[in-house]
Amino acid sequence: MLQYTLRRVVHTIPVLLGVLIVTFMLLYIAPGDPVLAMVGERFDQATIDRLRAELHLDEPVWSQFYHYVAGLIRGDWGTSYITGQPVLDGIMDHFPKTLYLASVAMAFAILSGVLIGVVSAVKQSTWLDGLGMTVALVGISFPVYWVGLILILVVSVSWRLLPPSGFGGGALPYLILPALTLGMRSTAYIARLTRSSMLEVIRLDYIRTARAKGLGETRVIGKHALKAALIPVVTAIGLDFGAYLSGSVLTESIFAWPGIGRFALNAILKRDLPVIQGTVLFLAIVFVLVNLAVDLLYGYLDPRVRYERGAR
Amino acid sequence: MSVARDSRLVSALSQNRLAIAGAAIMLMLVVVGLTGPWLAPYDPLAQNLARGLEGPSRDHWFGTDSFGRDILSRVLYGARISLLVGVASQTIAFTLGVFLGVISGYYGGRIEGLIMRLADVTLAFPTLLLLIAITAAFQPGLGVVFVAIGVVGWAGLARLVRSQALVVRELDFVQAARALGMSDARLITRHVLPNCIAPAIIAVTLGMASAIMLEAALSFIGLGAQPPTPSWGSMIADGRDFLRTAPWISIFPGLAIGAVVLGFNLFGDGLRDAMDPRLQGGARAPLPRTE
Repeated sequence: MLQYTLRRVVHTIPVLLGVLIVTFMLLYIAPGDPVLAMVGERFDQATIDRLRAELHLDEPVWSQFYHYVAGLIRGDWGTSYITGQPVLDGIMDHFPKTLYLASVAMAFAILSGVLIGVVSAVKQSTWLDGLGMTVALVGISFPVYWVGLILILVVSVSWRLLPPSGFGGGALPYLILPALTLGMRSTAYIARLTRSSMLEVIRLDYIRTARAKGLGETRVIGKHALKAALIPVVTAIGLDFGAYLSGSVLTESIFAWPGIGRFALNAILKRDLPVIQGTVLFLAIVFVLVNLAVDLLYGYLDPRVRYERGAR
Repeated sequence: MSVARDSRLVSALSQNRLAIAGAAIMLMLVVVGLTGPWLAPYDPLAQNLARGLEGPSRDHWFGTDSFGRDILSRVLYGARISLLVGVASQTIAFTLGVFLGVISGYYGGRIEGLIMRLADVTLAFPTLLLLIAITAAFQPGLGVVFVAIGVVGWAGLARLVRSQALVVRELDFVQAARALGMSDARLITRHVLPNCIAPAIIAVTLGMASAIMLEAALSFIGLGAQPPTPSWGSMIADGRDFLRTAPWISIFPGLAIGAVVLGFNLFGDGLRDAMDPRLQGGARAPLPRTE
């Protein structure tokens, strides 16, 4: 396991380096002069020259990249063109709210997705299965932001049950609709995955043995089958985290949720490139690290993975 | 794929009613995408402020938006943009993915290592996030979106084609052709490529749904189609401010996206069931995630 862990960690390093290069290039290739974007209308040549030297823009590209990475390590993630605030401060302000929303959305998606998947598999080819899989297919096919708007229209505008948008100090009524919206696609995805995984498992010999032993159906399904069926689901849930991070841009924009997605979107609308660059880098790093954690967890849960991937 | 397997696949697909429904929806997207401007009852850009925000009626089946533009005409016209984004981006992804996948699978070694690490980096970003970053860095517009979705989509395809090429290059007839002195270029184009391409074609066809979703999402946040171009995503965004008074502005383009993506998903499900005999009887492999 230690060897597998080390190999996966080492494998992550070139990927992280690639991510750094890509995010660096974003600002480098973007049209427009970053110094002019910072100083705006009021500028004189001396200020421009000074800023250009400060930002190392007069140096070759590899040197600029070096200063970029060195800055990131020092905690200098650049400064917003619009507010003049450090980008990292903005990220740290907004990320916990996204994490909060994503965690609740994920909990909802796991509970409802696994439930729908198990019921569909156990009641295969009945109306319940048909209903569950129709809901899942529709959930995968419709855009989240559109579903979010429909939820606002029905639940908030017509029924007046929940507030249509805002953070409300993180209170539950404000959380329900965005969490439902953000978790919808995962619910559908987990339901389909659980069903197919469960259908494979319940045909295996050891489940037949458990039944033959005279164990109750609830125990056979709930304990023996579900445990094996959930292994691929666990990986999918972890990998889905990336979808939550990018999905948060759309969901937070609809519900005015003050997380990192909305922070990034506001920056996009104002072409505040350092903020865009910083948030993309931050979310990509989180995504890479979560993937690493999932891979390690998967290797731990299913020893075959360690050997297969080691053999490559 | 052999002819016998092809015909088995077609016969399995033709017995799956949901897959046929999916194929019909896909075909409809193509037909409406090509003929939309002739089918549309009004000019999708023509404004008529006197008739703004009208609900669905006999004159305007899907109602009108705040500028009095006919929503039905705009939805029909939007199909053309969705079709275009699907075809353009997947053509780019296909070209890049197949080329790099075959090269890395066939040659192996350092070339393979380099290409696969590039694929790892591309896949290290959540797709929508990377697209947002690329389109935000350039001037927003549909052209950038087409290229960005295509460029981002190469990595998964390259991995798929590489794994096929790895198998094909070891087959006896390829080894024999090499022993007879056939050049690498000729071996790749005559033998390796034709034997790896079928799964890639299926992947890009189904990938169109994902491309359509991504374009709509980018247009929704203002990074794709610019006004007054009627993209389904930007139409949903147009309706946000009128959700209470004129919800139809957002509802119909959303239904259009959902219906089209549902069609692709139904067909994709059928295709997977038909290709994997283990799954017959109703178990279904999950679809890849789209944003």
